[in-house]
Parts: sequence; structure tokens; C-alpha cells
Amino acid sequence: MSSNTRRLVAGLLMCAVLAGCGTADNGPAAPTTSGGLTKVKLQLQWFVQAQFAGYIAAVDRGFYKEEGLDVEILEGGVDIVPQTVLAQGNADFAVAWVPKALASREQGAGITNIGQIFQRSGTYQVSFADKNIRTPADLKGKKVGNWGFGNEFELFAGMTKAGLDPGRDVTLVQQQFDMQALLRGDIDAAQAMSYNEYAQLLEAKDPATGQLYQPSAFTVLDWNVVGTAMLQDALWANTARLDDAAYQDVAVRFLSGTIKGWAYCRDNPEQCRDMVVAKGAKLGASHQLWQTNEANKLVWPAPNGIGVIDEAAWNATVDLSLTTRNQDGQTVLTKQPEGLAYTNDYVRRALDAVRADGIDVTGAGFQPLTVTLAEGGV
Amino acid sequence: MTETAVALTGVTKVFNPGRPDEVTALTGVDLTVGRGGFVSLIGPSGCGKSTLLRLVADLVAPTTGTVTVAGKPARTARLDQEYGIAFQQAGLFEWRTVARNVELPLELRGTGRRERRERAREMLDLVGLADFADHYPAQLSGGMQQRVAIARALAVHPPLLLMDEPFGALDEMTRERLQDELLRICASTGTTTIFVTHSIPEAVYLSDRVVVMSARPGRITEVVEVDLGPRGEATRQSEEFFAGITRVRRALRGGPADGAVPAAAGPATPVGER
Amino acid sequence: MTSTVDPVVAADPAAPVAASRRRRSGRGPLGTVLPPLIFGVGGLLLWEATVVLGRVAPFILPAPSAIGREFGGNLAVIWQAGLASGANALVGLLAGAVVGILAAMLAGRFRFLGEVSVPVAAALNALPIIALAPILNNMFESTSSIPRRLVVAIVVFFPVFVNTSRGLRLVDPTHRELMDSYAVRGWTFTRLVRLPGALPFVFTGLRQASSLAVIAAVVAEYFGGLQDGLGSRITSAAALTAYPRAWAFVVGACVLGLVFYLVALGLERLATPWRARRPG
Repeated sequence: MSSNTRRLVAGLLMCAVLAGCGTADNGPAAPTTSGGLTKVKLQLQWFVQAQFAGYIAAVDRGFYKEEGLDVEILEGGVDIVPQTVLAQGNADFAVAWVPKALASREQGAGITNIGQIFQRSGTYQVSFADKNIRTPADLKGKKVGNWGFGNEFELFAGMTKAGLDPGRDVTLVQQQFDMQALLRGDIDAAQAMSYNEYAQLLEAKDPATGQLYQPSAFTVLDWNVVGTAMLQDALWANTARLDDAAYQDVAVRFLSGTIKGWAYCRDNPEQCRDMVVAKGAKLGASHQLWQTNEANKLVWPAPNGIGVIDEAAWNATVDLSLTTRNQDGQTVLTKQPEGLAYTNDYVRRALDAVRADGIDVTGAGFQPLTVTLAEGGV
Repeated sequence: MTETAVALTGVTKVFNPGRPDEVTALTGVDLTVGRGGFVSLIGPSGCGKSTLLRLVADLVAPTTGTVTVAGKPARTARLDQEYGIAFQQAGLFEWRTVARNVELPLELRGTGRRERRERAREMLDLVGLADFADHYPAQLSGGMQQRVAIARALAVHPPLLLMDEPFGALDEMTRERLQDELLRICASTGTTTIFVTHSIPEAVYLSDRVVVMSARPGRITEVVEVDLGPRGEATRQSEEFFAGITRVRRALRGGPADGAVPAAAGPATPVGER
Repeated sequence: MTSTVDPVVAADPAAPVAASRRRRSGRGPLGTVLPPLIFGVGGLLLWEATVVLGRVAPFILPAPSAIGREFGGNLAVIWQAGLASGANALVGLLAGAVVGILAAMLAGRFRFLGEVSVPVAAALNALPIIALAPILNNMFESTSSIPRRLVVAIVVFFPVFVNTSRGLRLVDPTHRELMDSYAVRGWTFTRLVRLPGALPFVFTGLRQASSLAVIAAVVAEYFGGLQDGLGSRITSAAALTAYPRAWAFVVGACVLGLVFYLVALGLERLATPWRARRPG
């Protein structure tokens, strides 16, 4: 072969390899086993923290092992997109927010929602009480911080619903994933998760009084109340592999273990906090207790059973994803989700199995704790 | 009585005195150059010919002895721009046009713009490069760059021209042509020239006197008088030319040349104007 | 073979004439532009074919056609964001360049400063801008453009400083002797010899710095602060898994970088005309 022909063949081979990376037709892969247990990888949405207490408890308390699963938890981070990790086959299940996961689906990621763990949204827009921002309409003319990165749509939907033009009526500011900008007064309203950044405010000292800030110092816009909340933490599975009976079975067992884990954290928040801290969470013990408690509030009560995807809530989220525009005029989705976007089949089977063990899966009597925070969250 | 252009009396130059790397570059130098004369300095490396030139230029100071240029101490002569100097590298400023390079010494002595430009044009005419006034040095060949350097050296019409192997980096044909050019220019301007070279034919062709030097320590061993009359094509083939080359070669080897007295010490007689 | 007489040859027949000078007139500007153009277009076609034939999902690797569509569909946003990033890059570039040149001149003037500055500059240059951006963002107001411009200025400082220092240091010994013969030293020497001699080096540094400035301006935005430039558009599109759009903004950033580079090149040609007109 002449050298030119050789080069051509090499080039074509490279294209073939690259094409092989395409996931448009990913076939099913058999899950691997170790010591009789099936190995499962779970990709978290963010760094290890009590937001994921249920999964961590399920590992530490052996709930997954009871189901015959050896679950490895993969920590998330700033540049890790959990649904992409799942779609590319580097994890078996992933925790991801519904709008972002649906956006990935639109770009070809083959994933399906098999369990809506968080029934409510935990996004707040917080401001100091003296700014008098009690409804989204009060944001007009203010400096409004948000994290971008796809986290901003509830805020934008809220503003649009109140009749504001986000591009013109407010000053939009990119916010770091902390509360410094609000505390310094650089912005008037800041985005915060009820279970994380909001606590950071209550862990900071008010320079005027020398004491920790109290909730009365702030006003909170809760998008669940405003009506523009979108579904968040859900468990996603690889759609193509759901054709495989073995994977379906693993999914049901995984959901069972997860449900038991979250039920345990509902009933034993301090122990769950300890497990999360032991796993290397970034912020301290009192902060993680707050987070466990707040996460529980998003999960429980779940009248239809934890993890069931409510059709009305789903449609509302999809609707907002199609219609809300961010500051670049972009929407989350450009068309209705196609194919198997969500299914309650597996979670119902899991709920039946867990209920049969006598475990409470609706949390009707759930009472949240009152958590005292310490400075710096220790 | 002819004017003395340059006079060195009892000059020695020791570099790094008192240190382990001390070297005696020149010792016991007495030399006089009359106005309009053309003197070559020739010798093996280490004989101090470049040092001698730099003493005249006041680029180094003598350890003992005096150096006089145009009747003044060498330092004053330098500050008064009594000489122009050309090195083996043309040393043109690549960021200036050819004309602006020639204007440099005039600029430094504060000459007005119009006069500078005229003088530069005049000098470039002299060296035959008037058409290249607005070119940049990088566009010129090596020989042309040296011609510009000569034009620059003569821009202030100095009475003295010092040259340190200026044609050393050029090929033979260019060198011979530039030798003729140089003689023509010096003749028309009446400049006194001290020319350092390590080429015997070049020294003989150009000079009235060839100062032969030797090393360790650097000193003048002999002065060879040369009289070839008006130079032309024929000169390079003439008997007198080859005879001169032979005399210089013998002097370099250390043996006495015909009729020449070894001038290790004592003043050499100045030659009359050409 | 040219029909006109080469002026250098006419004036100096012995001058060596580069053979390439005679040959160059045959291969016009088309000859230099066409091959890379064909190569680039060919590469794009290969990319498109790979994505389409291999049915590669957009979230792995988008097709050039999809990127082109997004580019066309978002021109207004790309333009606005490009202006913002460009302004940051320009301000940072000017600030960093001025400080770099002044520092190089000081380092040249005071030998002690020069010796101290080299290891310090090397150590500072090893610091990734990633470490600086969030720190600077916290030091300033959230709506300020200063942190990003500072990041650009710091990134620009090093190539300008290093190249200018080298240029100021490299003085031809012949020039030195020549100026000694004219009794010129000190500021006059600097003005007449060092500075003009250093100019090509300064522009080499500026050319390097110009593309770095755009990269720094775009990347600095990844870490917060005011989000009005191309960097934030890239990350927000990526967060929404809208990779064709993200790539479209990347293309915008490339275009911006190219513009900066070409302007720097043009300025270099203007300021140092003697380098352009080399023979052969």
C-alpha cells in the first residue's frame, strides 16, 4: 500500500471509531457482579451532602445489600453533568433535576425518570426583610442574583408571571454558589436552596447585633407558593437498557433500597447526618442536620408514595420548560419530550415491595425538626 | 611643514592590570600620521592593531603615553567628532532608512533637518547609493551596507577616518571594488585614514605606509613605505605591487625587508600629502 | 524570470540574489491562501460526515451544520457578548501591556531589579488564572468588570514583560561602540538605540498577548461576576446540554481572538515597517 492509501485508511478507521462513540443506538449492557451482589453506580447531582442522605443511608445501613446490590456512589461537582454520565454508560442511575435532564434528552441523551424523589422544589429567592421583596413583582428595579447554569428558570418564570421583563425590569447578576454577594449588599435578592445556601445566611453573624441572623431578617420567595416551581431531584435510568429484563429488575431493587434509605432518614435524621458527615461532606454537622431536615421536607409527605411522578406536576414542569425564556431568550426545551421520558412502573413495584415490609412510604405523619444552626455551620 | 593628523607617543595599554588575566596589548608605540595620509595597520591576531585604533578613537584609554588627534587630546577629539569610524559589521540601525542612518552623526551634533538631508544625499552620491536613500538596511547587500557605513562615517566631513577591518566580511570581488571606492572618496575629501586589516594585498593596495605589528607584546615592528602612484586596473598586476606585498610579508615574518630599517623604537617620519 | 531589472542587482552586481525572489512572482496570493482553505473545508466535511453517518448524538459531538445554524440564529447575542468580552480583553490588554513595558524598562535600567524580577515573574506566571478569578471576584462588587480585566492584564503582563526585557537587553555591540564614538550614553542612547531596537520584540509580545487576552477574558467569566460576555454564554449553554449553541459561542470567541491577533499584526506592520520589506 502506498503511504497515501495508508493514510486514507487510517483516517477512515478513525472516523469509524468516532462513529462508534455515538450513542444513538446504544445497546443494552449486562450489569457486572461481585460476590453475588450486582454492582451498581449511582451518579449524584452535586458534592456529597445531606441532600442525598437517603442514598447514603441506604448504602451505610445495608438496604441496597438486602436487595442484592453493591452500590457505589459517584460524587458530582461543578463540571459533572449527571445525566450525561448516565447516558454515556458511566453510571447505572443518576440523580438529576428534571428540566436539565429533559434538555439533555432533547440533545440525544437516552434517559428515563424512574423516581421523583423530591416532590417539591427547594429553590428560594432570598432578600433582606427591609428590601420589602414579598412577591416576584417587587423584584422590579432590583439587582437580582441567580446562578445561571440552567438553575434560573423558576426565577424567570416567576418574574414573567408577575408581568416583568427580566431583561429590562431587573438587573441580573451572576451569583457564586454562596451568599457573599447578598451579605455584602452587592445584590438585593439572591438565589438559595432551602437546604443549603439559605442555612449559610443563618450561620452568618449580623454585624449590627453581633448575633447570628434570624429568619425574621429575611424574606423568602418560595416558587412552590408562587406557582412556578419545577421538579428537581429525580432518579434517572438508561432508556435503552430498560429493554433488558435484568436491568429492569435491578432498577426495581435499587428503588426499593432507596425508598428504605429515605424512610430511615425521615425517622432518624441525626443518624443520617452522622453518616453524611462521615462520608466527607464539605460543610459542618449542624449544617448537615439542617440539610437533612430540609431535604426531608421536600420528600415527605408523599401522598402517593415516595418517588411517584405526579402527572400534573410533570406537565407543569414541561410547560415551563417550553415557555420560560432566560436572559438570552433561550428556553429549556424546544419541543415536547419524545419517547419514554418518565415511568411509574418500577417505582410502584418497589413501593409495593417496601410496603409489604411494613415501612411507611407516604410519611403522612412526618414532623420536621427545629434545627439550631451554629456560626459557620459547624 | 605638514600637519600631523594623529600622533601616539610612548603609548602602552595593559588590560586588567594587577589581575591574573592581565594582558599587555600594546607597548612602546610611537606613531605619527600626516594629514591626508593613508596608513594600514597589519599583523597577526593579538598584535594590538584593533586596540591601537580604539586608542586613537578614545574608545579605550592608554595606560601610559599620550594620544593626540588633530592637535587635541583623543578624548576632546572624540567629543568634537573629529573622526568617523567604521567597523567590520556595518552597524546600521535597521529601523532607520539608509538616509536616516547617514544622518545619525549630524543629528547628534544638532544639525538642522534640511541641512542633514542635503548632506546625507551628498554622501550617498559619493558612495554611489543615492537611489537607495529610502530603503531599509535589510534590503541591501553586505557591500552596500558597508558603503552606507562609510557614508555615515564621513557625514560630518571629519578630517580623520578610522576603519576596523570593514571589508572583512565581504567576498573578494566586492572587497576589491570597495577598495577602489574608498580610495576615490578619500582622495576627493582629503581625509586622513587609519585602516586595520589582516589582508596583505589590501594593506599594500590602499596605503602610503603599512605599519607592521607583532604580538606578545603588541608592538610596531616595522613601517613599510609604499608608493604605487594612481591606482587602476593595472596596479594589481604591477611589479611595484607585488614587491610591496613581498616586503610586507617579510616584515611580518620578522626578517628585514629590503632597505627598510626596523623601527622598533623612535619616531617614524611623517609622509607628505599625496 | 522577471522582466524588470532588480535594483539591488543593478547597483551591486556581486550581491547574492536569492533564487526565491525570482520564483516568488509566479505563485500569487491565491497559491498561499487556497491550500489551507481547502484543508479547513475538507476537515469540516469530514466532521459532518462522521457525525451524520455515525449517528453521533449532539450531546457528544454536534455537527458543524448544527453549530452553523445556531451561530446564525444567535448572531445578535453573539455580537453583544463579543463586544463585552472584547472590551474586557482590550482594557486588560492595554493595561497589562503598559505595565509590562514600563516594568521591563525599569528592570533594564536597574540591574538589581532585573535580577530580582526574573524569578518573581516566573513564579507568578506559574500561577493559573483559575486561582485568581474567584478571589478577585470576591474582592470587587458583583457587577464590576474590573476582576475580569485584572485577570486579563495579569495574563498579558508576562509575555509583554519577557519579550520587551529581551529586546531592551539585546544591544548590538557594534551599535554600542558606534555610539561611544559619538559620546552618546544614558537616555539618548536608550532613545536612539535601545527603544527602537526593542520595538520588534515588544510587538512579538503583544501578538502573543492579544490572543491570550481574549482567552483570559472568556475563561475568567466561568468563575462568576458580571455575566455579559461569551464565557458565560458558553457555560450556560453547556449547562443546558445545548452543545451546538455552546460551540457556536466558542466559534464567536475564536473569531474575536482572530480579530485581536490580526489587529496586533497590522499594528506591528505599521510600527516596524523595516521588517516587512525584507528581500527574498
